Amino acid sequence: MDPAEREDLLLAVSRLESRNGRKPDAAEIAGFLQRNISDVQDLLRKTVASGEVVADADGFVSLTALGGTAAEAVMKKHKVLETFFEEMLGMDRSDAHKQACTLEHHASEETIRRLKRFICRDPPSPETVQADATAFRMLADCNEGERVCIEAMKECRRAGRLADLGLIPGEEVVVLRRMAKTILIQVKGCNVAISADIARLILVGICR
Amino acid sequence: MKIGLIGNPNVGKSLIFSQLTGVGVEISNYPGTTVDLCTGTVCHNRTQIEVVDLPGIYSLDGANSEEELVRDTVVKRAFDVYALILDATHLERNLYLLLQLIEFDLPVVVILNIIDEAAKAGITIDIDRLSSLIGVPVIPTAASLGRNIDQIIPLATSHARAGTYPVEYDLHIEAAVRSLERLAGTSRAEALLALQGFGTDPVLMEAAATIVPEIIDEHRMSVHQLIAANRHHAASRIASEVVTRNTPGLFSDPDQYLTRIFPGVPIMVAFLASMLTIVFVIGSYLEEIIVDIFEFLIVSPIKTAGFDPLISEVLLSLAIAIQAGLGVAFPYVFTFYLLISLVEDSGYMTRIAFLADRVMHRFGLHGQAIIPMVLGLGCNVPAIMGIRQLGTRRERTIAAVLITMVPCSARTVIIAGIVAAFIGIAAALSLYLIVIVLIVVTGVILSRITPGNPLGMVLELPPLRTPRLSQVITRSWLHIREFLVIAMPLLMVSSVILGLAGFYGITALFQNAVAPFMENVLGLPGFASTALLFGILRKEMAFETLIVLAGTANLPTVLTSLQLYIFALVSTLFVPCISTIAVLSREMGWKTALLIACYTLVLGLGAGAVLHLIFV
Repeated sequence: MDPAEREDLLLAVSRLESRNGRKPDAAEIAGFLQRNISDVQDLLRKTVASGEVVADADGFVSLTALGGTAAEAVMKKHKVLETFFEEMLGMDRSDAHKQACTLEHHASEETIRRLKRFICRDPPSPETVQADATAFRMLADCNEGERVCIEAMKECRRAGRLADLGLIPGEEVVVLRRMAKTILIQVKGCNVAISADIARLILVGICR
Repeated sequence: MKIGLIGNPNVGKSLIFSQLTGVGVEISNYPGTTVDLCTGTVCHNRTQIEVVDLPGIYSLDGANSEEELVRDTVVKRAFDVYALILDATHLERNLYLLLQLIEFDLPVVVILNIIDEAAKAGITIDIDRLSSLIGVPVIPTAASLGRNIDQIIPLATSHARAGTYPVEYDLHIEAAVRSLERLAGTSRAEALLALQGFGTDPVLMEAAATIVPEIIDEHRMSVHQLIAANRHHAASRIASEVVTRNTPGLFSDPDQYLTRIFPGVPIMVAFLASMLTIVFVIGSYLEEIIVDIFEFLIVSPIKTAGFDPLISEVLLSLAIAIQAGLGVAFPYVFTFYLLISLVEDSGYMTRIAFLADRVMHRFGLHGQAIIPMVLGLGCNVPAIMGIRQLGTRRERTIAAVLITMVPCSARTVIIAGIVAAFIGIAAALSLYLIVIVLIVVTGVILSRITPGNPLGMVLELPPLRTPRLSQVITRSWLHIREFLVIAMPLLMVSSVILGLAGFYGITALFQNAVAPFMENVLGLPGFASTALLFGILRKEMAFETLIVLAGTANLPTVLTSLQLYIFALVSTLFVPCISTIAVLSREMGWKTALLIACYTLVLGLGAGAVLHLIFV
């Protein structure tokens, strides 16, 4: 079995199940992968044999724990590659997605690890911040008393004022108070109130 | 010699200014702007020195009108010396502006203010080290205690010099600055401004525009962010060398109560309610005194002087306009602004803005818009001027419409004088409720239909401080001055026009023309239309005119409770007064002013008609 075909199948089962809220059958998977049904059924037999997929009596399939782990690993690779193409190379979103779909099956773990480190070290562009959700949060989502570090900021009309007040990447801020999503922070020893719509454009991470 | 006082907001600049210059301060517009500047003179060594209090700014690279103005004075070298006031309790953030100013190679002295509060907070600053690092003289002051203020002018006149701390920018910025210096023959400071999009030289701006995208590509952040980051790092380095922090003394933080939903919001509501009550009690008391004095000294003598009827009418119209203007301006507006200035100076107003931010977002506004809305309770004229602080035209438009609906002190007079006095307090409160509901509905609709995106709030909350009387009076005077300069002349002109219209019978014609509408749709007698028309002059004149035309101050003998209620509602909502329309047209353009006037006209008549339909 071609590793790329196997990974595509596992991803298809995982995505269809989370999208529809129920197990998919062979026809749905074939439609999703845009392949003919007999090829998909053949692949399903092989992945059931390898213990990554289980099929019930009605022909609906789901991933086993082993299959789930494999699908998650491919999904992470896809996400890192897609972010790299879009953010670092400035590629169009759909092109980045297609390239990531091709390369996710062949990139080594080491390549992905280095790419991820490169992306996180280099701040995203002001025009399109699509930070790795596991690393960054929006300032608007922080809780009272948290001390966080500004990682990146989307471009907005208030960016100039924010920079003048000391809200720049690398700066530590303390969240003093929240009123709904309007937050009061302390930056450079001064208290600054920021509306939710602006606080959502400031991405923060853990202080190192 | 001219000295410009420059600094961040809330660093005690205005207090130092008033201590330096004392009385005799002139307030004037900076040419080509709508920003007010306070100018005073000081006599030192037999030389007259002009001191100008520039607006508080965070940066010379900002885009708002205050920042543009100060940048303009710096670029054009409008002052011989800049006295930069720094807040010792937030030195690092304040150094950012100093580093910008140093780049312009201007004579500077640094006034390190609030040194007393810094000491209480356990902050020690090595003044000599700071002075040697930045290359300009530094003087520690505590303006609230008057400490060292007398040394500022001698220092500024004889020791001011250009600073010597160059910020080291990123390699690409430095390369760009060098290129621009060579290409356009410009200074380093102007090259940095050009990279951020500020400048007038087409050659310089074009060259900067070609370099900027490369820098953005290289760093993936805007040039302004990059430059700001470099300056903040430099400020941080200076601060780390001169600031020592010890354990601060224990002190309570009132913000832990003021910026929470509970008890912050109840405190805010109680505070605003008590403020309005105080204004109304003091205002009505003073109004009675002032109006009586005018009546006795001016109005009655004119009536009995036996002038030619036309001259008498004109003089009487003028006298009534002045009487009415001063009868409102000083009692209500001045009392209100005295209180509001106390609130502004204490820093509590920014807490209100923080608390109100979420609610204001529902109207397509943000927390800062609450400040002019609260000002509108006193008088709509200075409140409309306050909308300049809101970032976008969209926010200014929405705020302008809502402010014109806020019941100002003159409308409060109508509600109190007609509804509370003759129908009852509950009815008066219900009228307020109707107005508030209409404001909310209008706000929600406007937030959906007004084009543009909301800008959002970025607002520094300064430490809460005890206001100083001298500053409170100065600030109140600024607000009052706006009222007197804009409202009074208009009031006098329109009063004369209306007086003449009455004299030549035009008012009677108008009254007869609209009588059927008034009677059938609103259920009001014909003369009420004239009263409403006079209400455009000054809101509570509607009430006064109604009494004159009804021939009695005991209105329930002439009108039913429903008629009184409808009249009060219509005149409260219907068309802002002439002064408000004038200031609206100045701030937003005549089309917007006309639209708002038409909207409120329809709203007022519509609300009155609906009430009439329901209850008749």
